Amino acid sequence: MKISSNELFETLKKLKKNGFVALISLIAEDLDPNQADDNRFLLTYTLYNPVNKEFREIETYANDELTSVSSLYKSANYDEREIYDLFGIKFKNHPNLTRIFLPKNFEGNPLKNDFKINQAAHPVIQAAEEFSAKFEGEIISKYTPNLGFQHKGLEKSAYNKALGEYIPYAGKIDFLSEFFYAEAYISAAEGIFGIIPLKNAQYTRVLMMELNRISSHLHWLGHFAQSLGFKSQIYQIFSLRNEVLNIFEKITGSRIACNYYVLGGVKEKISNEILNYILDFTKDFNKKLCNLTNCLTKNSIFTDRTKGLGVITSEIALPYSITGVNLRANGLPLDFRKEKPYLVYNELEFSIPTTFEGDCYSRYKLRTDEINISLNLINQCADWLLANSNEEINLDIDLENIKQKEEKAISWVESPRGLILCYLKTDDNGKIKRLKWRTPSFYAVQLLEKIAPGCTLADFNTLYNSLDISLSEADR
Amino acid sequence: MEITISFIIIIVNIILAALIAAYLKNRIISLFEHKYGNKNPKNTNILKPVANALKLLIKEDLAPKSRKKILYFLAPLIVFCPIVTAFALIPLNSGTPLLNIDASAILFLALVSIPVAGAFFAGYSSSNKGAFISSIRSIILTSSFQIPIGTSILGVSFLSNSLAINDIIMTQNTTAGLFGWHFIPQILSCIIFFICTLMILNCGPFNITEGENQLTSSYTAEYSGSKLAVFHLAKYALLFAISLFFICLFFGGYLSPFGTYVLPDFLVSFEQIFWLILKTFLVILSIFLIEITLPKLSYERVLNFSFKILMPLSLINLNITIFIGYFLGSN
Repeated sequence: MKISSNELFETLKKLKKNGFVALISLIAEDLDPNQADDNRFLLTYTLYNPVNKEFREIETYANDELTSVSSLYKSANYDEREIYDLFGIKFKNHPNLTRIFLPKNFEGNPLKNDFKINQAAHPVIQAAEEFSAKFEGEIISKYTPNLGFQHKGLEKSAYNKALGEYIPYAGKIDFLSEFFYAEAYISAAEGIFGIIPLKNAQYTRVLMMELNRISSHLHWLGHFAQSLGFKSQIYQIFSLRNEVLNIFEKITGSRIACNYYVLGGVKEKISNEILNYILDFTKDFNKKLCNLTNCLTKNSIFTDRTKGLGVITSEIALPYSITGVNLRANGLPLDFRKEKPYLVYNELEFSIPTTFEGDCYSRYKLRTDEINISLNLINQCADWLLANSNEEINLDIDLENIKQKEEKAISWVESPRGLILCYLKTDDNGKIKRLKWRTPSFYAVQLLEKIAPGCTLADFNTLYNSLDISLSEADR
Repeated sequence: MEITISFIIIIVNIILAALIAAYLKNRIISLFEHKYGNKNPKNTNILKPVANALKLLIKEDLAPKSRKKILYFLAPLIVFCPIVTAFALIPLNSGTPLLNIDASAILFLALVSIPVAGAFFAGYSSSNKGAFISSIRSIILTSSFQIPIGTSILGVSFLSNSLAINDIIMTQNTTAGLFGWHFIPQILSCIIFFICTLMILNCGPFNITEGENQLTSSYTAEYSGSKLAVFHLAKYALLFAISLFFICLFFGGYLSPFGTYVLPDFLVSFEQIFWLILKTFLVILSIFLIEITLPKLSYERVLNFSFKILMPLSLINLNITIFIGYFLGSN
């Protein structure tokens, strides 16, 4: 639905009254730098209604100025700062319109298509991110994150590349959820070419993604336990995670940056030997994991410190565009594997656990429950692959002569931290014009600004770790 | 002159004991943490603590420019010296201890509480906010263990009619051996005292001086070189001093658990020191195990615990001891 920039605020206000509570993503694109009139930038707003489970997209054109919608949707605050930083569009009535990734004295807007680099390089910064907090006594009164230290320019580096060239870059956004980002990019690229991979390849992809989900959750669990003071459990948990990485090594050859997906399928078929190894692995995994999590759950110091801390109520979850475990901890069973099923998730049986308190303890419990659900999914996939092991896995694609069917494509993937959205647009020659990643940790950092005040210094570490923020994902 | 030599011998022994304790802690921790160890056929792991200590001694002594010079210099000394004196109060065999004082139990407690002043000076004189917060938290810890530990010592002193450590050990010297020691009639004091040792040592659940401020370390953040080596040495010295005190009060010190028996003259001292070392080893092992497995409390919960739970319990314990003593008529 295309509307003009004058009607934007009223339309969104009406839609918000009708129930579209969450602004899932805000995508900006530079259409043509040579155009002199008002239609240089195209903005796309994606809204979500949790009652009807309905998505709606709204598009406007803009040139230099636009009204800000951050009074309606809180998550638009960070989105509009990003667009101001990288594109140069100014937003009226924005509470804090400053640059978010690049340093404050930087001149220019990199994602504009006519941006040339004529200034000195970005200064070397050693810290991972900078967070500043103001205290009154021991209680935080104001909290400001300062992002940008991990900004690698992964969206700009896709400009003018061929579709197949960018595949290894996609996994570098976040080292912990490499298969999810690769899947999001490949699905979008396949949507542009109109390719649907074979069933065999789809089951293999689901298997690798669920294994990656387990390894990411275990990594989180180790660091969460360490932030509370358990000194030896992190090493035992990482020994468990080592077994998952061994499986990756058997299949693809590398443990973390695997680069296993190609257009139309996967690089190699998983042999029956490895599938049987996976089935053996899932049998005792639950027992070993329970030994470790009982150590945490039955410890009264742990439950005392995490219960009631950092509650994310349902009034602030969706307006801040929070998805994933942070949202499901408060009772809303929103899982994009069931909302917009991709690959073979509509053929597999699994349930979505939820809790109702929304504090750190329930987020911890949900992530350990999700590991069990992933084990179940892995079993189903491995059984199917063993039963149908004689079929082909890859389509025969002639990469030189293939034609594009569509101009743009969007893909949705549920990663361990929330929802990933990949927006891909190409021009007539097959080169990428705009690639945008909607990453879940970006919005979780904004949520920290809201819920950190009121927390003591001693509890802040627990709160930060329970949200499962990956800073390299927030900055891209 | 004699006393000077004895103190020098005490310091040398503390250093040796600290090296062995560091090695022991490393081995226990690596068992729990699945660490793949040294595959070197010549097992040189025992020399690792020595190498760490030497490395600290030869490093440059960096200090922040805006520090408070006198306090910065004095802090390691205040932390270390009282503990050396405290070692002199403990009898190692059935002779008299080096310093024979009438109320040595209370003096020991006072000497062990002085190092917190050194910790505060260390954090205050470094111009570092994280170090300052950490030193304030160590004051919180000391204020929370003083009353429970004092009343536990008083409870024990009722059984033995005196406050001197030597007399406390003498009254445990019965034919019943193990069952005559003070930990059975004063079981509640024993538990409270053990929890308070964890507080004194900043161990386990009470480790609030370091780790919470994960960006900076504890109050020793701005120290390096030999001053830092003194802080580390003081930590191990305190560990040994407290566990020796614990077993002297409750577990019979150098006495054997089999009761009194006669041995030839030249073997008596060796046997007593053997029992002393064995019991110290067991106490230190249990402290390390607790340090490995339990998570940390936050400082407000520590205060809550000590003033709302430990202090009333210890006072109740004292009252029970007094009443039972009155009715049995012996005290």
